[in-house]
Amino acid sequence: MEMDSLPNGNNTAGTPISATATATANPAPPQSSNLPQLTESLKLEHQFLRVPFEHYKKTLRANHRAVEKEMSAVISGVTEAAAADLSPDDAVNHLNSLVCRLQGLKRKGFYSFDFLFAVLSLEEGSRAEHLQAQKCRVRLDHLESADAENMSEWNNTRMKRILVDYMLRMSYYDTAVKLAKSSNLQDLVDIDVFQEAKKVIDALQNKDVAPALAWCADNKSRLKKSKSKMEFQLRLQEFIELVRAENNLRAITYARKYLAPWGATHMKELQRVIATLAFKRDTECSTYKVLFEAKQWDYLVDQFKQEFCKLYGMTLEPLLNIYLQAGLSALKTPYCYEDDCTKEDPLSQEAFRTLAMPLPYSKQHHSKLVCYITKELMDTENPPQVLPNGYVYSTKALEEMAKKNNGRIICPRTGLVCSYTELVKAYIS
Amino acid sequence: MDLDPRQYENLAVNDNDIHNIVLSYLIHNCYKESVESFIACTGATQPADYLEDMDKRKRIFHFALEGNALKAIELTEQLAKDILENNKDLQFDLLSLHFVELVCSRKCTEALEFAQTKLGPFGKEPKYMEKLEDFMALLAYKEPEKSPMFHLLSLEYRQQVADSLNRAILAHLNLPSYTAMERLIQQATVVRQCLSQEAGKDAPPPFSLKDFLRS
Repeated sequence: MEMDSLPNGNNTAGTPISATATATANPAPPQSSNLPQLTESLKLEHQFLRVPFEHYKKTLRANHRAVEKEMSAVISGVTEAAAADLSPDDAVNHLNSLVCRLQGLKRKGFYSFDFLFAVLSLEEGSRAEHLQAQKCRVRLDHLESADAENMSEWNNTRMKRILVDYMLRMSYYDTAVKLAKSSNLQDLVDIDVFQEAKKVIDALQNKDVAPALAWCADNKSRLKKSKSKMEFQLRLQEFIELVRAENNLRAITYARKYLAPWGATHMKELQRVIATLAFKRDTECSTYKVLFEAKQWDYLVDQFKQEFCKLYGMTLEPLLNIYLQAGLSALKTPYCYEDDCTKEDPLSQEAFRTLAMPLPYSKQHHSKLVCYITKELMDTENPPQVLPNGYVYSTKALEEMAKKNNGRIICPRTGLVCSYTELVKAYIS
Repeated sequence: MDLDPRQYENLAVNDNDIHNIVLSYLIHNCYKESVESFIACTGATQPADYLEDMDKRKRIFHFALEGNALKAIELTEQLAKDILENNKDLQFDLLSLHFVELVCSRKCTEALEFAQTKLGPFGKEPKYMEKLEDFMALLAYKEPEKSPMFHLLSLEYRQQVADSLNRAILAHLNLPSYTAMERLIQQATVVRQCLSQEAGKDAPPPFSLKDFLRS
């Protein structure tokens, strides 16, 4: 009797879905292999959950600081009133001014105090918190909603998310907004976060560091923890602009206030920049001449983008690049560059070949054979069978053919006719 | 006869030699009154040529030591034009002293102009560029004395520059740049090291002037 075939280890469940999703867009993957693939895929969705959460935390911190500031002012005001010997009229006026201050919180959108009942209620600031918390929830729901029935739609949505992410990073904001709106993706993409970055980037491109410095101040503790020197670099550039304008005394004052504190950790850079005072802006000395070039502002923009992505837990590369590289790496084999590469393979196209050029070849533990007739993979469930003429086709295709032709097999490539019983099973190494 | 170095304590030294060593030290460091007193007491030969320029050297040295570099430069050039022209390192150091004086006096505008006109041209050479960066960084601190570059404002630094200037002038006058005392101490140190290597575990301790003077 025939021996049972050993498993060949060709388990497609372990294949990252990113490759198949972006390369083949398989509309109906088998139910049993879906969840493991999805699990692998979610490893790339870190940013999807992290960004709105970081945004939420940032809003919470800002609101908390504002409330604390106002409350401490009011409490100290009340303490003063208690300590002072005020007339009844003065006391009433003082308390009225404190109430007005608390109502100012209402205009800022945080809290309002009813004069009689001191009831707290959340308004604009809490509305922002609420919206961001809701966005986190929407994304969790979205990830949970992925299942076999709607996988095609889910993958389509993800494709659009990835494209919006790419457009935002490349500063194509208007296009990103249009795509997000037309596909109803607003809660699934980070347009508002990138709008924040856009303001800073636009200013830097106009040689204005103020919004970037404000951003650094807002995120001071986080940047310090990650040992960022973004603020230092902005300060250096502003110093250089003062030297360029030959505003030397202001440059010195600026250096004493904003650069000297960084001397303990960045002395070499500090010294190099301060020395421009001795050389002026038209120096031919290459070490210092480079500091006056316009491209220094481009470096600042790049540096800011990196810091921004890091702070929000985003990948430094666009998701589109990551998915493309993962997919092309999985598909790339020496065979791709041969003339008889199949047309179904994306790497049969010049554009994809160019993109894949710097990427490594995929590591193939086992050969993968695709049936000439059905185009399906031949594996342990659908093993290859060999005709007497040496050609190999899948079991399913041959069984189907035998049923239609009274047990006879007609080779599609040579026309050979033989009996189904003459076939020999092949094993994939 | 060859003497065993280990018997050096038995070696008799001529009084005249000792007098010359002391005199050399006093002359090198411009101790004019001490020189005159020493000669009067010991009856040593009057080295007439030494005394001629000592007054000038003394004034130059003291101007440098107190940080008045421009005056030191002026007097040095009066003595001989090419001393500083042939020694750019020394020239840079003296000009730097002046820059430091301006910074310490909180004269930022003058310091800036001086840096641009006098120090900037040195920046084309890497060895001066690094030094220049150190000096310019002093401008970034309200209190340069408390900055990481505080050593540039110290007496030790001025002493070092003044010493270099003194040696350059002596060399120009064809006089020894180093005192006999310095050479003797250097040689004694080296000889003691060689003896230590030969003698192994019986080696005498390394030469130390401080220990020697205490013994």
